[in-house]
Amino acid sequence: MPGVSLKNIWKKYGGVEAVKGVNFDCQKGQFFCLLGPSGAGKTSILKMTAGVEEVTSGEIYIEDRLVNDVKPQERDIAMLFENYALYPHLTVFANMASPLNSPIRKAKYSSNEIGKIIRETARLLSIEELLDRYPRQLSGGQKQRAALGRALVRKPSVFLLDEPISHLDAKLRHNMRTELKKIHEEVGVSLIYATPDQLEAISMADVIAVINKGEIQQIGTPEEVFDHPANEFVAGFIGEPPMNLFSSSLRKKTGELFLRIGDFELMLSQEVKKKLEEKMVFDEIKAGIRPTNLHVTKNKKDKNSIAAEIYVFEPLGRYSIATARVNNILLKIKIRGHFEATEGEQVWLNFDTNKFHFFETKSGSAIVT
Amino acid sequence: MAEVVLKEVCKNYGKVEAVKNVNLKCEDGQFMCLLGPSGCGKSSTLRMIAGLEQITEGEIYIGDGLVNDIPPKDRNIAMVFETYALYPHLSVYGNIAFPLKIRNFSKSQIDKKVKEVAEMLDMNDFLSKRVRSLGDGQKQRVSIARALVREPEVFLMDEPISHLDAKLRTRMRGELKRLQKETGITCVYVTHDQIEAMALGDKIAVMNFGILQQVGTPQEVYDHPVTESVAGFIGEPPMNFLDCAVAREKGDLLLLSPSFKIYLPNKIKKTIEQKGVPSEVRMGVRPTDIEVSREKSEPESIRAEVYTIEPRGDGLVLTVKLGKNLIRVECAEEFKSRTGDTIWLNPEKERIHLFDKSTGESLI
Repeated sequence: MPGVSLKNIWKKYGGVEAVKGVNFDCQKGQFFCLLGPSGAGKTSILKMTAGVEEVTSGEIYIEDRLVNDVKPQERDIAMLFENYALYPHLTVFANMASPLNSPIRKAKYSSNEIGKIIRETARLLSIEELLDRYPRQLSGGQKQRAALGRALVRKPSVFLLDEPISHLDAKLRHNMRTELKKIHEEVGVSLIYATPDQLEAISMADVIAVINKGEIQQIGTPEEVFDHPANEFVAGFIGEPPMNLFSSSLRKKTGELFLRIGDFELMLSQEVKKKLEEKMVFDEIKAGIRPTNLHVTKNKKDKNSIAAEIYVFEPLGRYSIATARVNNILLKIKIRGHFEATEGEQVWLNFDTNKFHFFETKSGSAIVT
Repeated sequence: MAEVVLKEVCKNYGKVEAVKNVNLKCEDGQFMCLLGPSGCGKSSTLRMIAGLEQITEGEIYIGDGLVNDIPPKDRNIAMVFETYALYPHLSVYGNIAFPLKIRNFSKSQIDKKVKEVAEMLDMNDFLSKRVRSLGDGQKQRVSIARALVREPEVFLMDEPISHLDAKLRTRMRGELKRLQKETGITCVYVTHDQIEAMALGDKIAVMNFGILQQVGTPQEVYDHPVTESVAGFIGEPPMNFLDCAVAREKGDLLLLSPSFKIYLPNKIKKTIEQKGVPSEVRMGVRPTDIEVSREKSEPESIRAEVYTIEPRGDGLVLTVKLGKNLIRVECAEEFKSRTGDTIWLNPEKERIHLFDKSTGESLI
């Protein structure tokens, strides 16, 4: 059973179409990520699911119940925003207790039960020691956990999170990613998580819906969207550094298939050749290759090596990122292990020729991935 | 072009000591990154170099000259901030030309210089646009162009790209580095982002609590951090730290904890023995320096339980439970495991770091 199901959802603000015919199912207990740049429509989708914004057209189901006309407080949903919205004058305990004390639930819980629920939730979030503190006495990460706790105590059937950790610093974000994933595994609630950060999506989600300009671009597991992007947008949005994409053309010569890169022609692998032939060869195409699928050497390796100039070299500890220039094309390369190069140096590029992705120049749709 | 030298520089705000006795030399043409968490004193240091803050104590030299008493406008420096501080009513051209105009350059001189800089930053196409119509990346490019057009001896940059989105940040980072290399202008660059510092800096100066902790090349600070705080600050995911006892067994030295036992390799053993063997240490090991396997592969393999698995696209980050501790390990995408599985860890012993438990200083 889907935990949340959106069917052909549209949202218009005046003449602006923010969400255009979105369909997806977040299965019960799934960690479902809406990934896209700002303005993609992620927040609008969450707000419509929560019921704080009207749907222009389409249907929203929560555990098979049509909720278009159900009030937010009756949808059994908890939503958490980037700013925590904790009550500053209440302790963490009181903040977490507030939803249980709200008028629509008051009859349900005794103060003993409330205490028990809060202590259990606090233990899950490792904030047991903070229950007596006020929000101003907490760090950013602790505040976020308290806010999470307040949402969790209600045991909602759906959890909506809107960029909950994007404002935290890098280290803390890292820890919170691990914790959120763990908490989700333990609580098992259906979770829709909106973020512009591809790493958050890739590392936490069961399923990712990549969205741009109000339209879903692709829905798939992290592996699927990374390894087989459905179009140029997904290819360029997922991965860090992003996939190298450049306009090119294909040419057949003595039974082999060659890809133009600047003034060079790169012989493609038999595997790719076969795939391209099945789909008919397009003259003009967009070629894509991930920074981990090309390699820099100081000497020419074979006749498929391409001469390039180091444009920028960035050492990053156990790996480095080189930007190399071939004519006017800049290509990023992720180099594992120790390697040194300086700007302006002449090097050779060696491609994993069976790792190329190809997209239609006009539509951007994947031909071969 | 000029070098920048700080000698025993201090900055106090009332009773708060924001910068404590910093000695730093940024050579002519060098890209120096001041790296540290917020409040570590890096921006105060930069602002003293710029002349925007009084120096409480110490001396700052730009080129050969002591600049303590020289006003900012006479220091021949150019600053780029996180906020662009552009003139919204002027065109891109007008903004870049502005510093030359107020210095009474002729129209033709201005035109020549603006176009040169625009060419270098690949912004010829939007010189006539109003700045308010530009995206964030382009705005920052305009403010960099405006700084560049003056041909300053030193560039001072304070988190110029930290507010840009991830994609744009990576791109601008590359462009900045390229630009600095092409112009050869000395650059002091403040950031809290260790990846940015690693990628950009010829040298990185790591600061914390107003104190300069370490100055070195990116590889030096990554491979040989002098304190636990530097070790933990550089690298992503961050270094793992585990407390353990040091014990002797026959001729060997080993690290002991309830969940593991590691015989120290000779080189580390010798270094420690020279300094005096402590009874307890904090061990540091980077997520990349631990090999994982499904089976116990060596007598010393460490048993751990998978806590979470985070795919990265081109690899995995595992968080594993080691007794009561959680540590992170990077491994290949092909490594199959599930939460709760038992796996075995083999740290690369040559790459282990050891720190004094009370002072945080590196012991090796």
